[in-house]
Amino acid sequence: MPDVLSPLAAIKQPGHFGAQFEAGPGVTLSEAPVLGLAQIAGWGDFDAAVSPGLNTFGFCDAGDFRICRNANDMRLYRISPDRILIAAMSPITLPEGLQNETSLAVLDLGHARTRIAVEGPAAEDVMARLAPIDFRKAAMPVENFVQTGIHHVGVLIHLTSASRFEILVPVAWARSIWEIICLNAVPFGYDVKVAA
Amino acid sequence: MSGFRLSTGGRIDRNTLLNVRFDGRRLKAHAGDTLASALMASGENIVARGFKYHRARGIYSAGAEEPNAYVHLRNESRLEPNARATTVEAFDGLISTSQNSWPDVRLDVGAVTGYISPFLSVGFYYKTFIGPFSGTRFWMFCEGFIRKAAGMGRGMKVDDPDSYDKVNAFCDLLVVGAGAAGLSAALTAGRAGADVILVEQDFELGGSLLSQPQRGETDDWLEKVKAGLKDLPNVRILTRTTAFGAYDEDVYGLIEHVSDHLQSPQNHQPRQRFWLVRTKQAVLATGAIERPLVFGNNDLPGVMLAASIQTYANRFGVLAGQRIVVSTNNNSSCQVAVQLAQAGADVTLVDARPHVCEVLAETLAKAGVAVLSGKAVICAKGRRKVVAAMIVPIDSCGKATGLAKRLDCDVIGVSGGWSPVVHLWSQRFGKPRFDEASASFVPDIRGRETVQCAGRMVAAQSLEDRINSGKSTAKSTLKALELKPSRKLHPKTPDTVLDTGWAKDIGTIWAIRDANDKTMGKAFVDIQHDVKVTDIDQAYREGYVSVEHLKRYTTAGMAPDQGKTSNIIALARMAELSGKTIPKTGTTTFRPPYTPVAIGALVGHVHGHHFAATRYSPVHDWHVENGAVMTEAGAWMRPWHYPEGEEVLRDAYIREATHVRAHVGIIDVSTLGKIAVQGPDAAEFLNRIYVNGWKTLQVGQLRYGVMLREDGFVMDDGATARLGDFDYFMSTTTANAAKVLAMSEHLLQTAWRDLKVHVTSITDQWAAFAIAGPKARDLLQLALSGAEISGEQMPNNHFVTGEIADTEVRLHRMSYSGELAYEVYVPSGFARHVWTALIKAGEAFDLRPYGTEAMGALRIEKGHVAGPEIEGRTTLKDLGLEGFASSKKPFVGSVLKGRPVLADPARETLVGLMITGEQGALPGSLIYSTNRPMQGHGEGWVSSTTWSPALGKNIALALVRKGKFRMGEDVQVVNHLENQSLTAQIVSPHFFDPEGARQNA
Repeated sequence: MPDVLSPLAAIKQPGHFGAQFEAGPGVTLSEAPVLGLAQIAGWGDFDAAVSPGLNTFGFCDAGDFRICRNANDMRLYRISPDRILIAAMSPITLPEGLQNETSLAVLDLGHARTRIAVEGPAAEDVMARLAPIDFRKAAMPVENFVQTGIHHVGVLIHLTSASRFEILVPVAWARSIWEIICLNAVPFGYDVKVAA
Repeated sequence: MSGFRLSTGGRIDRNTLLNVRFDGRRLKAHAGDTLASALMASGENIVARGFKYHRARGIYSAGAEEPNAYVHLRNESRLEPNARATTVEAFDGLISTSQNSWPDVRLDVGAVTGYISPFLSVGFYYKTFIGPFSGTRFWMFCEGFIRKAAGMGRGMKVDDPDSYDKVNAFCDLLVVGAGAAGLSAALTAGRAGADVILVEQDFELGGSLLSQPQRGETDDWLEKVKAGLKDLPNVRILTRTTAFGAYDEDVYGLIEHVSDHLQSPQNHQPRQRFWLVRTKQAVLATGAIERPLVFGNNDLPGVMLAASIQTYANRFGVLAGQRIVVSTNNNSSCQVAVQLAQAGADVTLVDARPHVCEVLAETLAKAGVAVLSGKAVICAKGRRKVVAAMIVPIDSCGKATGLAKRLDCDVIGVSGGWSPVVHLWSQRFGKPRFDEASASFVPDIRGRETVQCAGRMVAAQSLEDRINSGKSTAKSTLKALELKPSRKLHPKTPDTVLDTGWAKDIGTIWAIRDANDKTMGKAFVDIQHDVKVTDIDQAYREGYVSVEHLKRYTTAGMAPDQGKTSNIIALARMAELSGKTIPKTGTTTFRPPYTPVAIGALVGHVHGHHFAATRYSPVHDWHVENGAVMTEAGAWMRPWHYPEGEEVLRDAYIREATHVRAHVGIIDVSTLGKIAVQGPDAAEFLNRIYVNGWKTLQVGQLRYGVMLREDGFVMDDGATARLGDFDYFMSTTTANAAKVLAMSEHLLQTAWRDLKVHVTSITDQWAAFAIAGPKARDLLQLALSGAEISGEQMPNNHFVTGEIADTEVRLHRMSYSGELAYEVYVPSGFARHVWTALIKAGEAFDLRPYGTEAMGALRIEKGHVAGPEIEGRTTLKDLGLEGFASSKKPFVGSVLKGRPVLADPARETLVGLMITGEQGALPGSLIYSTNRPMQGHGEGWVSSTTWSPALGKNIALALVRKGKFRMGEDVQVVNHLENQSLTAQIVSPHFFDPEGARQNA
């Protein structure tokens, strides 16, 4: 199987850009494909239908709409009452419990999103320029996520550590979103790292 | 007026001399100066010209209310018009020039308009350019001259080299204004732990405290509060930032002038930053603006707001003149007069009230200020600057009761009371209330919903009152935020001499007139827009008695200063004329912005290439590397054509389309909308959303479908494949993908909640390439492994899965071009890998890429409809698709498609046009019967047009009235815009291979 080609391959240049400060860059930008991304959707009592399968993955439940669940290097985002996303850095093999076609619909989105990381002391400031979301720590603690828009494109933003945001971006829009992030990072100074 | 720098005093850095220029002349400027203070210190009396009459104008105020001193800043691409000199921070290298004057602000030719001013009264334009002349022709002729003569600054038409930042911010409490009240509020809330944003439009915190003498008690208080705030990490202080708009849901718009105090932005910083603040609570401590008194020649350089003279003296160390007359109707001018006298000026206080209270009189006398009670300035004397004031005894209405006496002076300070800055409050809550006690408009209640008001904005008079109101409003907000105030004590409230405020004993006088109720000379109400007392009087006589009409008819309050000093005077005059009170006369409602905002700041980065986000195919870079000319297709970039050598578009697409018919071509169709339709009721869902039936579609098959809007018009078409029992793969047109998904989701969440179906966009998941041409199968048989694709094993409308270059792909057999064709679906991350492998494998078959222009030519030859035909006004019948509609089931639009107007047999229907001659028809051309006049809307229109490589002719698709029944008829094809007239024959839209032999091969 060939390597997955990044949607940013032609424009993502490593180096330092924008403002220069003695303290170093305000943020570091990086990008990596989300090789394992599956949507599981259902109807009626979704929680009951999906929970047994999720338990075999190590998740205790289907989560809530703000806090990401983590288990065995996988992340679970509840994106609507009857839909969840499971994301991993490698392709996901779903357990049998999640393959019941009459109560659950499984969809591979492994090539549909890429992950852009904004990390560093100015990460919150850069994010405040991208989306009308309250990114202050009190409003968005670590492991919280939101579904919102950047430049009118639907994205999922996840605060993975105190100073690192990861953004799931549709691949066809990724180049535009990357450029907008870079523009907004210019006043803080930013480094582009090749690997996420 | 001959301003000069005092030898001591001021909050400027006298050791730092700045290179600041005005009209090429170097000014005496120091760090801490504004452009206005530097102009005044340098003796520049005339800094601007009036809007209409081009009268000489000087500096009038010391803040955002300035009506006169508007200048150009910088030059070339950074030229900025209409900058208020009073708020421009001086910096080294600042270049400023006067505006609205020629050849020079000191000697302006435009001043001759003053001689014809009797003919330029209010309503001049309405009366002169409408009436005896036909239509607007005369106005159109004169407009250019008028605009040139009257106007403000000059805009720049080159690209702005700077960037603008836009930021979303959230906080518990937004405090607008960092004067005594705002600072107290911020400190109170900050110490309680609230997340506070404190906004101040000035480059220094302190508000009016900065106008007090240096090193006094107020400075001590200010320093302590500033230090207290700096110690609080939960308080963000934004100086050089104006809160310009207050909106519903507690959203505030701020503009931060990040780099406007520099020659150009440094270290990649933006020039300005637009803050969109969402706050839980707000304290508005926006202060008050001093009001003028109106009298003859009150626009002469040297007439200034009284408190601004104090500001220039105490803050900038600049005395506006040596002999100063302060004309007032309230106590606030006493402190001004005393401090100016202490600064060395010869000061006369002319108080309109019959008596000055004993305590004040004593203090004034001690300071050497001469006091004239029961008198007012009725006229300023001088041609280019004030040389004297004419002073008359007046009655309680401002009418002269005796003869005027001349008093030589070089500055006249005026104070008619103060107007609280209620703009932000009014933007949220409407009209303010008139407070008789302070003779000013104030918020109707101090605390409303999530907005509290404090300080001078609510007519708090003394410094102690202002500080206390800041604290108490902050405490109210803390209660709402469920926070407890800190017990830490605030700095002691400073004692200030003559801290009287303006309200006590204020005389309600607005304009000074002679015994006949006439002003002595031109007396301006709105100095910036040259609106005089006589203009208000005339508007009243002509029936414009509503304040809204008054404003629009006279333009009072409509200039860039938005009437900050003039609105209430105009109202008061109207009240006087109509015999009503000011509250009965009413006021206008304030709208954002409080001060002008650069459009660039609101735009931020969203312009040019980034006006909207762009979508790119995963093979985009291959197209660019291989010479494709790209074109926008909705949000997408698509290859338009791949020119070879010097080929132009026409040559290239004809070659590409010809090649597809003769050999094989490949086109990137990753832009097609793709939607996963999943669930046990997926087939039923498709049955409802498409006009045709889906329940018989087997796994491994795909089917073309058409869908309607609810109103019965065609919305979209595409093919849907059945991947599994409950799993379908729908494709839509590029343009309508989002619309189809939104409609599907809407129906599933509302009308069809009974269906167990989920729809999800998978456009990003899958890339798609169409391979078309007689050699398409041969090529794929070579490139594809793991699947049989012979004609028998894989007929039309079937799909298989296999591998190309070790990558799993899905191959759909279907044709848009009319050739033997397949669509290859590839996970998008592997798209370029597979595309490159196909190009390589295709070398043996002369595979060539083709673009959207050739694709269009191929589909027009086949009579396949696309966006130009499915344009929202066409029905199934119009497009010849009625055969797809099932009569056995309901579907979206099935009822309304039968409306009489849609079933009318006279409607335009899809036909082909065989154009006569070498010229092709232009899209949008109208169709007329032969020998009929080419007038009106015609009998149809051309929707798509091309040169047909297969037929060697110009052809077109058109919608023609009763078209189906007019086959063989000759018609005229006319484009009125391009003056093109052609003839054509109506034919079947299926120009090429109507039996479909080639695609079924």
